[in-house]
Amino acid sequence: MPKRGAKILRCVVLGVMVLSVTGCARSQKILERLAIDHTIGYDLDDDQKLFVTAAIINQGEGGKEVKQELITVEADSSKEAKIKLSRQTSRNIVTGQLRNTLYSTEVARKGIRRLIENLVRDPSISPRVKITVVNGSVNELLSSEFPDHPNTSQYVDHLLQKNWKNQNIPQVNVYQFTRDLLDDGIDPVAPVVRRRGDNVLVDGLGLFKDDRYVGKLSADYNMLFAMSRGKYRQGEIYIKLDYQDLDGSVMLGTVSSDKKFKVWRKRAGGFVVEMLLEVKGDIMEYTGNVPLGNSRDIPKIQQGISSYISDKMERMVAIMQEKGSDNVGLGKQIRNSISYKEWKSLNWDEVYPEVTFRCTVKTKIKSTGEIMEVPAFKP
Amino acid sequence: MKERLYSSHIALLVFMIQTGVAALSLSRKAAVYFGTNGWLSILILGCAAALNIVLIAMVNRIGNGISVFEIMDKSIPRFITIPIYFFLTAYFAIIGCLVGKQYIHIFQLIAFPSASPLMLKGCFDLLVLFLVTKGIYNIGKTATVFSMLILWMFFLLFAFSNDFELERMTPFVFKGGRNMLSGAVEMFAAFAGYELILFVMPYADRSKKWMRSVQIGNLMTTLTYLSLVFVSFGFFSLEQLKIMLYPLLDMLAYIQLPFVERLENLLFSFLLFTVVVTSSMYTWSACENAQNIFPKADRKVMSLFIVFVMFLISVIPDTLFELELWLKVVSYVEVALSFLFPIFLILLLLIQKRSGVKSHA
Repeated sequence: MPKRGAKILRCVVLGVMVLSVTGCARSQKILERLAIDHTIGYDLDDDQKLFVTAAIINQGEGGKEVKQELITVEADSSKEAKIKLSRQTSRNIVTGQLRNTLYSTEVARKGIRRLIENLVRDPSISPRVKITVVNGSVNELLSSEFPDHPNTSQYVDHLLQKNWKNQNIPQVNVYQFTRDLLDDGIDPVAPVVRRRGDNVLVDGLGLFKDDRYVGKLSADYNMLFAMSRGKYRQGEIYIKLDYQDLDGSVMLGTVSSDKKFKVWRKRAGGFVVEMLLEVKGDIMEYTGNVPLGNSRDIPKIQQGISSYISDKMERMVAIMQEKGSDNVGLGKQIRNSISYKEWKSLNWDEVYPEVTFRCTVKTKIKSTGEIMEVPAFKP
Repeated sequence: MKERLYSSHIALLVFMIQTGVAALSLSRKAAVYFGTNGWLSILILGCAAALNIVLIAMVNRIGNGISVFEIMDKSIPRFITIPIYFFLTAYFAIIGCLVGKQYIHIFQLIAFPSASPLMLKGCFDLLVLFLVTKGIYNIGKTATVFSMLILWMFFLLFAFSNDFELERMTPFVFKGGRNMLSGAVEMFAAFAGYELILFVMPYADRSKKWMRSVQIGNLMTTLTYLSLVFVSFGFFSLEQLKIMLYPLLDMLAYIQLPFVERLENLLFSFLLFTVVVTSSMYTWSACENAQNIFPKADRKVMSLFIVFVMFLISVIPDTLFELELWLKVVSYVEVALSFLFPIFLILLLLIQKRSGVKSHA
């Protein structure tokens, strides 16, 4: 008998569960009724108030058509903007598929900590949402029409994604930006894009001092920055040779690099940070005067490449030091080489511009391509 | 009774009781209380738990595996033991329900913001009830099966190798933290749960090995936590880790597969298995204690009653803040209890032995 009772109890319980689960039906989400927030952009208007542009993707009936809709609103915060934005659309705005956030240089110059903070706070927003600075007006960029790319917000997103995969720009998302923002030995960066004619292009790398945008590194430095930040794989680099009697240019392919740092103190106070960089690659293109066929001359070209990279790397850090932003993370290296007490008593903002940075590069050419050397033709 | 809990079951059971929702915030607590390289604190806490298990093993050895209740009833009058059992029943039931409620709250935060927490908690309690009424052997076997659904998640830690950086950890040890001692007690709650083995003693396999498997279970928990917290210290920067409510959830959210992202909702559901086992074991222990107050009561009715009361209690803390505060208070009591209770039992056993020897003489 008790067994039968238990069975009945189980059936009743199961029934109750099944019935109660049907309650979940209320929160079902129908794709055609959703406004999927793909990109949010922030500008400042004339009164220095936040001007929010949301690029929304509307799934058409039947699941075929995908249309981009732009809605704009003036607001004090990103969440207020969401509420105001929802008044302008017949669909439910959802942020779970947010891919990219764009900040005009004006907004970024004022500091974007509050805006980022709210992205981190909201559990529906992925930590992989990108952070991008727009050179110019975000609203103008998103509302521009590009003949080859019907959906501007997706176009910008894919552009960044591709460039990141090719290691042209560092990947910067909410997690990484917050991580570097809150770390005491490094400052964050974000890619800068702008419109040029019928295209959008990566305009360089935005340098941040804490959460404020302080300037831009030109796109020429993208590779070098990537090398300074971490292990670099499968990239390409174009080098102008100008070392001793070398001239012309060389293009290195399948470049890989590895770095190490050394820190020591100057006698007069302050620090020297040396970056030891090892670069490996294959020659893909070469226009120099030294013949490649002779293996004795290869070290000379290697030295030429090394000197180019180290000069440029030092120039890059000098630009950052001038702007007071430590985007390579020299602070991290110095912090890890001194005591906790000393690091905490250090006025880093004053010390940083005085840090001497040196870059020593060791280049290894793995091969010179599929040919030896084309013989010179007699005139 | 022929059925016995074998040592492999016990190791996995201990692992499953120990691990739970506390793992989500463990990295943050290590960062806030211990500061730089706070992951080392996990080793200290793991050792403390191992020491505590040695105490429990002594109870087992001196008492020759007899139950806690037998030890107590032998030398303490019943009008004193009944309030103690009553306290333990209430206490274990409260832990059992808070652990479940916390899981439900977090689940709601990330996945079902509009669903009623009462309904979710009701479903959860049903699972607990089903397990508890099946008895300790089945809980043990279930824990073994469930652990297979959890253990694979360990390999997810490799997903963070790209963003992991040793330099982020700094060479400083325990700098920039605060309230290390009270923090350690709070963090210890993540290890607690093995003390329930005291009540499992009479049901375990008689061989001497089974206490070793409790240690193995604890070792598994320690290593899991250690690798998890270590990876989060290299993945997040210290100040970032300090502000993340549940760093593990953010890490899960960061995992991306070519065909799907935002996996945290799916992965978080797997934690249900370990939380159900934790909650069930606390409820089961509460039932064991209640059984000693009312020896003639029907076990199933009693389980139902206790689970129902647990459900009612869990209605009270309705914000995550309140819940965390309750859990903090409970964890202080838990740490004190898990050390003092075995010591108390050892003293009782020694007194009993002495008087026993005397009476034989």
